[in-house]
Amino acid sequence: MIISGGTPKYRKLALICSVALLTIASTPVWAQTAEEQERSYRREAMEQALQTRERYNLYGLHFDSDKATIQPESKSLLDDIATSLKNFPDWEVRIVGHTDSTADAQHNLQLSVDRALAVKTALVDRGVEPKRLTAEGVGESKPIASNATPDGRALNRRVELDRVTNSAEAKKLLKAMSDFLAAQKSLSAGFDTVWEVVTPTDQKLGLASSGTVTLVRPDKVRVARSGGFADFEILFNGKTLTLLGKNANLYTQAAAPGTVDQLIDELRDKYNRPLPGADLLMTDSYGELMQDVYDSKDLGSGVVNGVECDTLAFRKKDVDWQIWIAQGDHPYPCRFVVTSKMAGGDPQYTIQFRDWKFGGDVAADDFVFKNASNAKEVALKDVQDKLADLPANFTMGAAK
Amino acid sequence: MILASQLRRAFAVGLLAGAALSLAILGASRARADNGDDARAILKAMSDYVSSQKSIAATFNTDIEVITPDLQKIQFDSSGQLQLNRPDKLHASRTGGYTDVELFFDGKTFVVANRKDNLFTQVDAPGSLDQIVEKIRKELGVDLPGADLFLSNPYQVLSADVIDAKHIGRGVINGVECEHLAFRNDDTDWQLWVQAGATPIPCKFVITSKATTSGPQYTLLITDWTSDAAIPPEAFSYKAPDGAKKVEFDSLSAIDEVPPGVIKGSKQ
Repeated sequence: MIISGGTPKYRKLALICSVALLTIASTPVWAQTAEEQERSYRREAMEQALQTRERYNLYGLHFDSDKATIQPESKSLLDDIATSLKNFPDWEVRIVGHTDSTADAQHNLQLSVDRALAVKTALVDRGVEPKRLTAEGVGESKPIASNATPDGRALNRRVELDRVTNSAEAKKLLKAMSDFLAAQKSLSAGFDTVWEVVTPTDQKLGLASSGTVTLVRPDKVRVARSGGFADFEILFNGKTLTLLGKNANLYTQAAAPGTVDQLIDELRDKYNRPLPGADLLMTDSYGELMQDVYDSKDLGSGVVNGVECDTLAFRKKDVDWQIWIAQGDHPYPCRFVVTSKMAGGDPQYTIQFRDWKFGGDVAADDFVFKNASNAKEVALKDVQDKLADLPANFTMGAAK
Repeated sequence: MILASQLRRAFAVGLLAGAALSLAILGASRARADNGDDARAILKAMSDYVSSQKSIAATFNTDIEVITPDLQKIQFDSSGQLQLNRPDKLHASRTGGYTDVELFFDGKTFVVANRKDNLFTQVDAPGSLDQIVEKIRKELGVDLPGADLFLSNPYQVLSADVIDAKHIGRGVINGVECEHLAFRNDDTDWQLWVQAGATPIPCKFVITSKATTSGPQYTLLITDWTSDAAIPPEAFSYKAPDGAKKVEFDSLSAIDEVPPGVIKGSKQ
C-alpha cells in the first residue's frame, strides 16, 4: 500500500522517519564504539547539540570502575561544559546517568544517580548555578547497545546531557485549566480513551473505549465506560464505592468514606496505579500533573474536534505527556496523551474529551446505585477478571 | 479509607481506563487460529460499502506525531471536513493551529487554498477522484494518508502490500462499537476501526511508522459521517475571496500538519 510509482506514498511518514534518523545519525552509537566516539568529542559538537536541544552523550567522561569518582583526565571535558553554560546563561541542563547491566539493577540505579550527581557537583564547583542543573539516574533501564559485548557495555555506560525547556507560559496555561476545573462544583463530559499495547512482535495496538464522567465536588463521581472487552460503571458517593460489570451483570460494593481526591490519591500513592485521566479530576490537577516535571513546552495552537486549543508538552522521568486546553473563557482539557518511555515502541494512553458541561448544565445525579439491571452482588475477586481492559487471550508481561 | 486492596486495583484499572502504561503484552496469541481472513473480510465489507456511497459528507480529526531531537514524541492536531460526490467531485478543509487549508475539485479544476494567508493555487486536472488523489500525491507531494479510504476500490489499495492481518476484536469509538483490525506492511503497521453491523463505515485509521523504535503515528478519526448527503454542486468550486492571490503550489506555504521550525526547539 505504501509504494506507488517507486516513491513512498506517505511522504509525511517518511519525513517523520527522516527527522528521527537525523537524530540517530548525529549520535551514531551503533556505528561507532565508545572509544571512537570519545575521540570524536569536540566542544563545538557538544555546544551545538545543546543549542539545538539534541541529546548529547558525554563519552569522554570516565569514572573509576563501579564508583562515582570522575577520573582526572575527564576534567577538561567538564571545564568545556562549564564554559558553555557560562556562555549561555539561560540554558538549563538535565544530567542523566546510565550504566551497563553488569551488576544488579538496584545497584546500577544508585550508581547512575551518584554519577549524574558527581557531574552536577563538578559543574557547580566550576561556577555553574546549581538551579540550572538537574541530575538523575536511570541505571541499566535504557541501553542503547547490547550488554552482551564489551563494546556494547561501554556504549551503555554513559552520561547524557539534555537541555531542558522551562516554559512559564505552558505552566500558566495549565494552571488556568486547573483553577477553572477546581472552581466547577459539578462537571460532566464524554470521553474516548485509547490504551496502546505492544505485542512481542513489536506491533502497537490501540484498545479503544468510550465513556462518560460526572463529578460533583468534593466526593461524588460516576464513570461509565465501554470498550471492546469491558463495559462497566463506577459509582462513588463519598461513602460507598460501587463497581458494576455490565456484560456479566455483576456488581460489588465497598465502604470508602472520603473525597474523590483522597480516593484517587490512595489508589496511586499506595498501590502505584497510574491513573492518567483521573489527575484531571482532582482539585489541584496542576500540582498533581506537574509533580517531577523537568521540561515544559508551549507548542502553540492545535485544533481538536473543531475546538481551538493551546497545546502543551511536558516531560517526566518515565513518561512524557501532552495536553490540549480549549482557548477562551472555559479552559477545559480537550485531549491528554501520556507516552511511556519505559517500554519499547513508546506506547501511549490517550483520553479525548467531548461535550463538557459545567454547573447547572450538568444532568442531575443522586449518585445512588439503583441496580436497574438486577445485577447480582458478588465479592470483588469474582468480577475482577471481567473488568480487565484486555481480552482473556492477551497475557500481560512486565515492563521491558 | 478502608478498601480491599483488590478493589483498589480493579477501580484503578477502571476509573478512566488508566492502567500501567509500562506494561507490554508478551503473549498476544489469539485463542483461535487467525489467518487474517476475518480481518480481510471486514476490510472488504468497509471498502464495498464506502465505494457504493455516491456522496459522502464527513468531519474528521487528524494528529501526526513527530520525534524531536531530544526524543520527545509530540502530536499536532487538526480538524476538518470532507464532502465528495462520486466519481469526480471533492471538497475538503482542514484547520490546525498553524494552518487553514481547503481543497476543491469539480472534475476539471483542482484548487488548494491557504485561507489563513488568502492564497490559492489552481491546476487543470480533468479526471476522477482516484486520478486527482494520485496527482496530488505524485506531483504535489502531499500524502493525504486518509484518502485511500475514499478511493473507488479502497480494499485493493489498502491490502496490496499487507503481510499480516488480524481481527483484534471490538473497540468503542465516539460511543460506537467498532471492529478493530490490525495490518502489517513492510514499512508501516496500520489499524482500522470499522463500525460493527450493517453500515461498515471507517471510524478511525492509524498508521504507525516502523522506521524508528518509538513508532510515530498518523491518526485519522472520523467524527461524523453522512452517506448520500445532498451536497450542492457549488460546494466543489472555489470562489476566490476578495484579495485572494493566485500563486504556484510551492508558494502556498503553511499547509502542512506540522508547523515549520518545530523540530529544532519549540517556542518557549
